[in-house]
Amino acid sequence: MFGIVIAFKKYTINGGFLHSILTSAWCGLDNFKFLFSSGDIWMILRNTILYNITFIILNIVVPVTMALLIGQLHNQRMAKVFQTAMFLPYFLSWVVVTALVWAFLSFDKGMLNNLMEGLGQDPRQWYMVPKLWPGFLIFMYLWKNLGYSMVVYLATITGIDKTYYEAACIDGASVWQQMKWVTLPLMRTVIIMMFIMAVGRIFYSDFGLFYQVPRDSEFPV
Amino acid sequence: MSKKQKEAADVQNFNRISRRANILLNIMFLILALICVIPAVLVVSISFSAEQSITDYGYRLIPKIISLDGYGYLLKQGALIIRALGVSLFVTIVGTVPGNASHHTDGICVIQAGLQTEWISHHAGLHSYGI
Repeated sequence: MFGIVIAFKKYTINGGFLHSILTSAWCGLDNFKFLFSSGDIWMILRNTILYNITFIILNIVVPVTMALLIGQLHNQRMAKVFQTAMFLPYFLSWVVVTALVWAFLSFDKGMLNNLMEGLGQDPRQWYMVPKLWPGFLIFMYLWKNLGYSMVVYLATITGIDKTYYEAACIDGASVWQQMKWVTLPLMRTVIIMMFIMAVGRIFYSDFGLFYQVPRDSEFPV
Repeated sequence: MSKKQKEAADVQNFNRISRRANILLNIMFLILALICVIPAVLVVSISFSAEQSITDYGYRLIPKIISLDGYGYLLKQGALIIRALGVSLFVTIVGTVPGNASHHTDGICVIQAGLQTEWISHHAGLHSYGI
């Protein structure tokens, strides 16, 4: 929390980090004046909030659906394989992911352009198409976090007592009705917990995703 | 199949999704799994491809020219990498043991991780990718 004082100081580097903070001059609200008068603040706020709303909604809806569905597969050994595979991206750091995305989207060496040339189409400068990127960043975020969130929800589903399903089955509930009226209500507390934690992370600003992955292409969002 | 066995199988099959839905779901999860695995495999295959192969033929799942230069470079940087791993280990242990529930440790971890990423990406030669 001590770091907050940086916001009210004219930060100049003078030796170590702490020493610099202590010796920097106070400047009151000048930093904030600069931020708000530069006009970018509304774009920053809009991007942060819109991206995070999308992230939060999708990162609950998609993993919960996937967790519900993967539990329905007849062959549960396959389900385990799929689940492990989907967990893989979570272990890659954003820096590695950046290099990966570059391997796919790079103009002259990328696999996507190679593929398009193979199909007889013109290669494209994927990093220069701003319209593409909000969707792509959301996809990357989901891709990376899907496995992890799925594990959380699957654990909840495993924790549900089997007798509920037997009772529902005897009462004539279909598989879909069991999901809707037994599994989902029992998952509610965990979903709400995950939601609250995600809301708390809104202003973390995912540096890796937003700064590294687009490789500083500076597209106007 | 005797009547009793059939009945038992019916009961077991009763509370399941249909065969067709099962196949569709399996295909869907297979595609999702591939989307997640292929990039990870690509990391490994790129690590084995020669720089010449990438400049000439682009990134490929199966490299045209195989070389271990990347790993040779890592070995040359040995001490540096080991120190980086040591920092990671230290941060993980120190960050986990006193309870990661406190925001304070969380903050430190974030700062450390940030510094580390920059540091590693600078030193591990990733700057040649323009990162």
